[in-house]
Amino acid sequence: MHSRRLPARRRRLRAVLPALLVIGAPLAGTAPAAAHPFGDPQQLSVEASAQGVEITWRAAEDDLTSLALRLDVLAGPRAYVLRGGAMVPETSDADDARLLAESPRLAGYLLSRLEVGVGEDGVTPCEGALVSAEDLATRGARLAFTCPGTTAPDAVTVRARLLTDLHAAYRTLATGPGGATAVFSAEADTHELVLRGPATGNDAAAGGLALVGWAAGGGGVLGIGLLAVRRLRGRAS
Amino acid sequence: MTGLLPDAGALAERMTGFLEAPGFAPLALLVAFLAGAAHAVQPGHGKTLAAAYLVGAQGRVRDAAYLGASVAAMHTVSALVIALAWTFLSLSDHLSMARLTGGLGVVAGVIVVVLGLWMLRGWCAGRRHGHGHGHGHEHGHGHEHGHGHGHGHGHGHGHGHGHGTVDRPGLWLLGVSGGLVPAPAAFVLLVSGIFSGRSGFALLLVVVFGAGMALVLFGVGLLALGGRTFVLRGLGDRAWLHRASRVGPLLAALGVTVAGCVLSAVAVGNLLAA
Repeated sequence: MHSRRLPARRRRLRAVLPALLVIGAPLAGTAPAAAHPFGDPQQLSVEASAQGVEITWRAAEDDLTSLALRLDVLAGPRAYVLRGGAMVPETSDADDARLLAESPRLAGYLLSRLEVGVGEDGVTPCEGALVSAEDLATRGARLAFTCPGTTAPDAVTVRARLLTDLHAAYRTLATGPGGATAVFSAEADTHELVLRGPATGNDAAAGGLALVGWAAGGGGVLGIGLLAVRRLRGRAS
Repeated sequence: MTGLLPDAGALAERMTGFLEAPGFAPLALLVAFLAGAAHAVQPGHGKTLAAAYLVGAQGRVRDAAYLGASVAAMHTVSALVIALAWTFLSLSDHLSMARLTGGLGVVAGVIVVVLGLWMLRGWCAGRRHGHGHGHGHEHGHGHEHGHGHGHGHGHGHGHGHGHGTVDRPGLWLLGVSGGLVPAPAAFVLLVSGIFSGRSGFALLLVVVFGAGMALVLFGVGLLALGGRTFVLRGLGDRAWLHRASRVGPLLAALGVTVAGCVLSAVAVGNLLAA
């Protein structure tokens, strides 16, 4: 008796459950975009100058707001929300970046967290100054470092700890002359960048090419594997 | 831990940390897998809609696996394309990442709307044919039967009516929608890999991250399918169930469409606010 009633109930339930699940979806929070706060990683652009180096620092708008709050540049408390596993300001806009750019605290912060040196292991420090922070949100902050000596250095050692005091997970992606690249993090905050002559170390083009190569190779192997499985199934059937 | 959910942020941070450590640490693969699983457990990726679709379309275990793999594959491709475009096409100079992901969110919502409308069309077609149950066909395998009655089609085309068998294109659409907006951790991992000269290892970690996501989504699908059977056994031949079953597919189709509209509207709002 039970087994005869089961198919009928099953058919009805198949019809009803999707509607219940869909109706319950808003309660479960299904918005695909809600799980993904996304932003540009911090970037450093390092270029050679006559006396040392020029470095441009760029950060995402919400990171600038976080820094402005940290430096007490913004008046009043700002609500924080949990996005992507991190607490971030609920709102951020260009005014936050403008106020931060106008504050003398920005220069103090950048120069304390960004150091440049020359010589063996960069032991001889270069003197830095904030040149410009106009349009901080889009163009970033430009800093100039003058290194001791009469000639421009061929290589510099850069120590960057930008925003890692806000959260250890912050990373800074640096680009140097000739496409040289480096990643600064809380664990690896010091890298040497070659300013003149053949670049050594990592290279963005090579890294990208390798990524495309690995992806194409992996995709090809996967495709061949799926094709083989399909053929085997076809033969079996 | 955040409540009962694993701390996805901490796992993702740990995963990215392996990229900076010299050599290859097998533990990195485990952490990447767990980070992907923890990410998928968080709200999003259309888990509920996928579960509804699987249940409504008489999904099988292999369909749940297909769905999980689709989301993971789309997520990997999306993260890869965005990372390459960000690095080499100066993507952020033309478009903020918030706007990009907002736009992708709109596309993901519209895909759900399309799926809902497709389900509505199937329901309407089913009514026109005068029977409320479905039939379907798969490429290259002749045909499958929804409820044991035959059809003469043996060639390679597919269509689904009402609450018929699972349509792979429908699952694929859900997979695309769920994986279109990549995890920030996956994007950061790939660009860090490019910048640190370890792009192959970064890609491997992102693939394993996707496998962790796929496992969770597969598990959600299995839970939905198992839940269907469990509830079925628990309920008797109730009159309300009988009545509701007549409009259930319609409600599901309307619900998916409305959910897609809501997702799209929210995504448009996020996009405008970005």
